[in-house]
Amino acid sequence: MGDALRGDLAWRGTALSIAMGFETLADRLCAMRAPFRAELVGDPEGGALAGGVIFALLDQTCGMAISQALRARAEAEGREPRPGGMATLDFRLDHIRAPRPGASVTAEAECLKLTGDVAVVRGWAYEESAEDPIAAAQAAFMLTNVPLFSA
Amino acid sequence: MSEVIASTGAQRPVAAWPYARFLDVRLEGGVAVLPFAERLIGNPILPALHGGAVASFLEMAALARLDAEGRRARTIDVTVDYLRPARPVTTYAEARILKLGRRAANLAVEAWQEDRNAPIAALRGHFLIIG
Repeated sequence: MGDALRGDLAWRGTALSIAMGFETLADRLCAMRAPFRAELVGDPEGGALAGGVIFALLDQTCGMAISQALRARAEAEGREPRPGGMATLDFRLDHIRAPRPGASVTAEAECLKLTGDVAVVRGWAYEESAEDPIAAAQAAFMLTNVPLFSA
Repeated sequence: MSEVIASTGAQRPVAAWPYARFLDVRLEGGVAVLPFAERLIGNPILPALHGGAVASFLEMAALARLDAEGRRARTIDVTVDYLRPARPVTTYAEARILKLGRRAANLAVEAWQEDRNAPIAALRGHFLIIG
């Protein structure tokens, strides 16, 4: 297993994403999936995953996008990736439409800009196709010296 | 599972949502309470609560505040500012209604832990009034 893949698998390692059953998707560059679970439903009348679940999924996926971007930058500069993780500064989530009842949700993210201290990312969530999104996120993260995962 | 999905008609307050029970969110007077649990951790090294758990809690506090006004709402957008690391202790949140219109409401929510005057996160959001 390559370091890159191991790093991405670590994104499932946070307690919350394990508890919610988040999965990484190997067939896309930076994607995670929240399988439908009845215990994660918001308004039971709607029967869909709660908005907060989609927030958590996108937050996690945005972090993964930054991790990938940091690794890519280190590779391009011929050095080891910087130690440390990231902390969310602000995170905006627009709910474009309600998720379908009983549906699993997939999120993708891309890092728009990495500076020395700050990363700007955007993400989007959908059930079947990114062309038919449920929600869109825009966020800024502070890069920190605190690692997210133990080595 | 099917029981939850099949339930229709009855309006259930936010505190009775399955996801609120999953996070163990409680309402004590006008304050929402999120007891610490290991599964809420996002950064195991610090350790700190997951940003998504904090955001979910803030959003529920806003929706519960609208519940208290007898309004059922659906989230249009939320912006969460993370002000301090969310430590592995009980978190509290209080929501303020900045504008309650016929079709939409604007709320501000602050979350804190030990010190009410040292908020750990703040949410601003728009909510569509659906009932």
